[in-house]
Amino acid sequence: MSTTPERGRQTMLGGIAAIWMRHYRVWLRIFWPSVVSGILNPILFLFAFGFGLGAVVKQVGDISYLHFVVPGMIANAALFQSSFEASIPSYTRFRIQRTYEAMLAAPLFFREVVYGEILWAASKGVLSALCLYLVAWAVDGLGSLSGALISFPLVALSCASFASLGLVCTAYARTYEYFSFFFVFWITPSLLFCGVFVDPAAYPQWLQWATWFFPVKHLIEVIRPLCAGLSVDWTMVALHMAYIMAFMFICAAMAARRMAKKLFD
Amino acid sequence: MSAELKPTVTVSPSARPQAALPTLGMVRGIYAFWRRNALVWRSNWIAACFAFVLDPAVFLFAFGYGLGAAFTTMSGMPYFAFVVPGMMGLGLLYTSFIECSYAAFFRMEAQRTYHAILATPMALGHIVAGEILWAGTKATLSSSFILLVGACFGGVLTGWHSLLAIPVATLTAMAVGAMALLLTSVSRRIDDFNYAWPLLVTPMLMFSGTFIELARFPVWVQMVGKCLPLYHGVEVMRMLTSGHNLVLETVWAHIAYLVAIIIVFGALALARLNGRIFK
Repeated sequence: MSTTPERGRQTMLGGIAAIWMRHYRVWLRIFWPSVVSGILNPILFLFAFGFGLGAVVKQVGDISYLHFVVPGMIANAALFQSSFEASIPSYTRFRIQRTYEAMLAAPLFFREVVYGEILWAASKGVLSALCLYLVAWAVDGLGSLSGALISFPLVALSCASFASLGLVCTAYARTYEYFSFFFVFWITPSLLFCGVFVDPAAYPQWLQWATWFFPVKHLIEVIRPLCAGLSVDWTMVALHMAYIMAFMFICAAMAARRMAKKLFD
Repeated sequence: MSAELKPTVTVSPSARPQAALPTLGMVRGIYAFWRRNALVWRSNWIAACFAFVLDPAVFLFAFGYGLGAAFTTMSGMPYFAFVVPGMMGLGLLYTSFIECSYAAFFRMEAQRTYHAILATPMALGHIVAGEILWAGTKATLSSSFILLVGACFGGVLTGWHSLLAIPVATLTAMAVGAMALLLTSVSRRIDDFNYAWPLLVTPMLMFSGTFIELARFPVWVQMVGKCLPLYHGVEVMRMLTSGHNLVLETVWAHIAYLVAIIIVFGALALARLNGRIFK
């Protein structure tokens, strides 16, 4: 690594916080467009699916369709926002604006830049999820408020996992067009086959197995009973969360490795 | 260099190029811009095709299975047959909207492509029309692929004349593109397009009868949906691919609406861009 910050710094927290603050201050300039679309868009989706599908699918398993679809939408909003933020916008900073090089000219470690990026993207996912929790709470879409409160930190933790995958794509992409793969192999299957709007039981068996690869499926599996107020098997919750965390560590390591190669070789 | 070789006419964005150079004819000008976009696209077409061709096909599969389990029939036809033209609509909506909003804005503001082009014998009208036509072209590729996939899995109930849905898809995409280009002309920064998702794109996606028939929504939602161009496009495509309620007069009425949208929004976008670039 070519960067040598001042000697004797004990933790990376200060550096990560500095990166996060930089992104936050840039984002403040587009505060309104982000929040308006973050709140209005899920309302429209809830309305359309509530009317359209909810009229036909009244009940999924033990819960009403509204209680079924709300956790799915929370997970999906978290997934989309956090991994998207780490994809095309990060790529713009990394390759086009050369923000990373500029940051590395400051007394910062390379890993602080990467982790700051992931933390920032995850924060945007958390904000999106928060918007959805509010909308869901307003339309009585949360069966159990305490369950929803417990689910929130789990969603926040998963956001870091989603963001790391986005950053892997940023690290490997050569042009903007490469993000097609990100959408086709990550965003779309996560939305369609992981049980966001429809019970995945409708799909063929092989597809149901294959989609366990996607962390969002594990997250939905965890937060759906929590938000609906059903009984929860905590061992399974721990296992699902362990998968999501493992996914995060692998992706973050892959992204950091590849980015270091592109920056320093 | 002698003094007389210095250019006497400076072509800058503030001077209309027509004043300096003879302008290309309309067809040649539009084709030149269309070809410029096509050549840029060609350099990365495999990666680009992935998103806008494969993605809607995956949606088709997912909705066919997922929602097909909930709705067996819709609008008097099997759900899969109902959803094929709907997914053609989804594909063309996203392709054309993104092309005429984010991509066009990037060309105009970040790359200054429009300014560069206007320094040649091209007029702004060529750019606007070329941009809309290019969005239509890309969307046609996407919609045709979905039609093909749908036909392979029995989602097309009519014969060869279902192919007429393809030009309808082109026209619908151009209408969406014209609307998106108007947004581009009034956006100050790329993040302003965030407003377009909840206010235009998502309503169009949800309330155009793409995967849930419009009649299931309250009347005021139906009225909003019927104002949007995608509804008219999907209706005609559905008539052509399913053969249900196929009335020639209705088809022409829908198409006339689409053409009117293209002309009105194209003209508005041209006027706004004119004020923006030649201010």
